[in-house]
Amino acid sequence: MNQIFFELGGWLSLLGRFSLVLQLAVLVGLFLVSRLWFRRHRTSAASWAIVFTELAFLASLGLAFLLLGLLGMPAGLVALAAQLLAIWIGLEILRLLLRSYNDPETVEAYYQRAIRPLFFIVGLLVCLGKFDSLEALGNITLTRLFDEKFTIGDLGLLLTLPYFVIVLSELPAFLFGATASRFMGMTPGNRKALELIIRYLLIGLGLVWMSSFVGLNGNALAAMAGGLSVGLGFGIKEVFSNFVSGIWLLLEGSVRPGEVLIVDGVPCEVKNLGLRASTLLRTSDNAELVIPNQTFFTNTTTTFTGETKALRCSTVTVGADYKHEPDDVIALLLATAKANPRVLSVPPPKASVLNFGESAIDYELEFSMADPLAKGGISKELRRAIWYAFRDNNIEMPYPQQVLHWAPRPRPSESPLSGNH
Amino acid sequence: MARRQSWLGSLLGLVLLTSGCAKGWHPPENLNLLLSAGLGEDKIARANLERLAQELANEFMRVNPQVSVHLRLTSENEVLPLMRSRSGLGAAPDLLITRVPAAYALAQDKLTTTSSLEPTELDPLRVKFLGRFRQGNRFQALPLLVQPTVACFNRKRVPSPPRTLDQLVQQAAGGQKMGLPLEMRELLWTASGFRAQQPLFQLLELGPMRHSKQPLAGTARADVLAWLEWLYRANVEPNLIFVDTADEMVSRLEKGQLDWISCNATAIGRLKRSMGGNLAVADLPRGPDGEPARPMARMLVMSFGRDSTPGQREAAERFALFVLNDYTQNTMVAKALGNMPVNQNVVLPVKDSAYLPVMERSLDHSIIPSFHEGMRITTLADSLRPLLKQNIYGEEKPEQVLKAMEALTNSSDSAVVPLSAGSNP
Repeated sequence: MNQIFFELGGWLSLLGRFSLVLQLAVLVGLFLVSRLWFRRHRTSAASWAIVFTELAFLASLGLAFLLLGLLGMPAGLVALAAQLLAIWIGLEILRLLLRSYNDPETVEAYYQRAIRPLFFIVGLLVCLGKFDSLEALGNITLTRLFDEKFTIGDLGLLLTLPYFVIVLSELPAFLFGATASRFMGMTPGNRKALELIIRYLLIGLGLVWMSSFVGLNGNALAAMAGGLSVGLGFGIKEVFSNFVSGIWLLLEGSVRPGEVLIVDGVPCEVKNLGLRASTLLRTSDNAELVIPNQTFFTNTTTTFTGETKALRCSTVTVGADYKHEPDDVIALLLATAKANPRVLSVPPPKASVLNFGESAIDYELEFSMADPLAKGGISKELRRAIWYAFRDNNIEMPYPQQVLHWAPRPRPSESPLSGNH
Repeated sequence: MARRQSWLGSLLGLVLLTSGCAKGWHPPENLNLLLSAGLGEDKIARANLERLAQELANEFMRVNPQVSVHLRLTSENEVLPLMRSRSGLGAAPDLLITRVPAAYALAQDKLTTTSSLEPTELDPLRVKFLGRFRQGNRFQALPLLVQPTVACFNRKRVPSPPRTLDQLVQQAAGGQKMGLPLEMRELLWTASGFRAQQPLFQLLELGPMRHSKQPLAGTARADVLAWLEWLYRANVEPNLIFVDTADEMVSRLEKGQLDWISCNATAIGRLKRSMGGNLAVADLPRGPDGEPARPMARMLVMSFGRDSTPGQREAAERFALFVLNDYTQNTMVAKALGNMPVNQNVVLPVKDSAYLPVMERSLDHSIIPSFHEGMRITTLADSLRPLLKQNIYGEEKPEQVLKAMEALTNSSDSAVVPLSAGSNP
């Protein structure tokens, strides 16, 4: 730690140099002006207006660079800031262009999670490297771990690399999945499963590479893992159980992103199969359910999107008065079903007499749909259409009718008590 | 409101930090020191120099607790771009330790400034070669250490090292593998034996005759041709091997692929570690007429950065005086094998060392390059290497090679700007 303060002292001593302080003052001044401008004009992020403002800031940096050069003063810091700003503006423009041609949410996700942090870290390293030797800084020893030096560089890598390994693994996995899907004709569910498996593989390899890159002693890690295994067995076994369950489910293919499962009687779409838990979307109320992977592994799972996902069926039951001929009602029900665009024509809908009820003949209309999640919506539409169809064709949906027979009142002479009077 | 106060607080902190807070309190001075002493692929030499420099910095900080020395290392071919970049920021090191060519290049680019140390401050130290860096009343650089060239060999395979160039060829013919470098700077010592060194200096515009544009003629021309002829004949001998770089030659000696080489004394530490007791050093072979070999010694010099505050400059000059004083020079010679002091007050323990007498004798005959000479020969090195190869491998006759050399030096005049008259007495 003393070494860090020692190096900091060296850097701070540079602040005694007029040429450096002047450049810093120019940069801070221009930065403050630009911030004030942003605040006054309330420029929103990810807009062309902010890019034009940044370009103006860049131009002012260029002007400052020229002025300092004319005065014979060093202007490398201003030039460095201008270079970094130019790259930043380039990234902003790329972001805006990508947003125009792609899903803005996806673009933003990559930009915020990968590009921006990467830019800041690389920029910081570039700045540090301009003032000092990164190698020398990185080699400053913080402590010793397993007889190995643990340096600032190791700490920096340990703090940043896992994040980027996890975040940046998404893109190659996505690209591989897209390519495989295109050339091998994979279903979206299989594609997502493949992407996840590739991503886990990349993360695993990345972490192994990172540990060797940082210089962690392999034997020490093995010993540590051995010791930890007892703790893992008792302490966080659920986490590992869920992780392994997730991998298994992916390989097995029973639960994959995009699948529709019945949870508590309600169809839900699997949005994401995470390391510990899966996220499901319940479309009836747009609620997200986070369910541990182990649940699917140990419990019975009802799915609507298995091998025959295009043939999922549902039924609507309705009652018609006994006075109407069943064939007419059945024909009407079939016509109503065929008129609904969300009902599949193949296999065709079927209607049949289900039961002779107390007040009506019960009919059942079976139909198939492409999207199992639309089951509820299609059923509602069909019931509505059936009502109108019945009304237009004078088919009655009778209320339940009950005939009450009153028992005859006994005569007074027949009263068992009459003899007593 | 709170945000505004935090901004003002930061600004005030910055102002206080840069102004030194108060007159009664003096923050510790920081000295940024950059070492680029020919640090190439030789990792052992680099580690030795780094350790030595760090020890010196620690000793200096013990004596001057109010100064913190921040030592950084860089390779020789990176020092110029690094200094351009740092000077552009206004954050150049306060003191640089480099070899002469690098120091000259830095001074030419105005990336370093002259020392403000007065001759009266340096006189008691009796610094050798100081005059070669004088510019008016100031010094463009200060000599620090000299690294002479000697012969290094495997005593098991070469019981008796060659004393003359003829013996060198004869011993190669006898089966001993001898190595010579293909770099003009490292090969120049062989020319001294043929009295061809001065004509070559004239040709390459080195030394006091550097402004004479007359072509070589008469004896001088004959001497250079005789040297070129010797180089060609030497290469005919299969066991006399010309190697591209001095570093590669050292590697080959370590691996046993060569038995004898000419080497800079800084390689002794590395060779001692790899060869142990088999390593021996000797004088370089003399010429056919007994002329001593006059190798071009390497020299480490100190230059001063241009961006330092007065306090940082003062700390840098105090450090320079510290490393030039009798005690430190003595320590450096003892700890960094292959380096010789520039402080003439230092008495070398020649009787206790097998290497120091040889190094001392070599230094007596060595040529110490000035700023201009060091840079000039570095500039010409890449162009001269193919010419030397053509001569050594017999592709061109010595006469043609000499003409090519003359043409080369005439065409490369613009590459080097001569220093002012007072800079190189």
